[in-house]
Amino acid sequence: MLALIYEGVTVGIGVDKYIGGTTPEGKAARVRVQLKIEEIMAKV
Amino acid sequence: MAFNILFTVPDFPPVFFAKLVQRVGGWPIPFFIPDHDYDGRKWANLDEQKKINGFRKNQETGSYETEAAFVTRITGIMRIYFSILQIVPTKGPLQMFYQLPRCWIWFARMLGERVLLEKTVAAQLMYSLYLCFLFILLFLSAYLFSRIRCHGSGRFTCLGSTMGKNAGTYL
Repeated sequence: MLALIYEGVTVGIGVDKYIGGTTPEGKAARVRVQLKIEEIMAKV
Repeated sequence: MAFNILFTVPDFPPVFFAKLVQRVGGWPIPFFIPDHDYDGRKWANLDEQKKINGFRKNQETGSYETEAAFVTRITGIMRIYFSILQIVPTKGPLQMFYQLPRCWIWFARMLGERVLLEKTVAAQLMYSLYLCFLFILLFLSAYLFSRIRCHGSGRFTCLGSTMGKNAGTYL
């Protein structure tokens, strides 16, 4: 599930479609999610 | 405090969840709200649709809150819900809406709804749930570690009794 979310925030869920949308707040939250997943995987 | 009330006051859990949905729209489930009600009735106007989706209207100016304000408010409310999910109850399980598996259900539903994923709130809510993820990972690792230890001691006990039986036979 983490891999799916990571793919959704990095590669996207469609053509130019990412988790969080295109608003500035969405982009900021998307990067936070990406960093947090990387942090979780580093701890495992 | 919310957790204690959920435990002690009967009929409070469904009412609390209904109030959550009323305040933030379909995000606690999560669920994409269509353009009509459950009985097929279309929303009367934009005001009703916005209200159903959890947007708050400023009574003085008549304008709706901005996307940033909406995200901040929704995240704050949902963080309370996620915090309740993380607490391990000591006197038996809470109602199903407040049990830890709801974390997985929440994520599964969220990942299944492409329309929800493209909303700004989605990414922020996933970020706010990261503590829950860490908690689950820690819980699972502790559980697996304890199982391995029990399994190991069980094997040793079994081996010890076999040896004792054999020793008795031979003696």
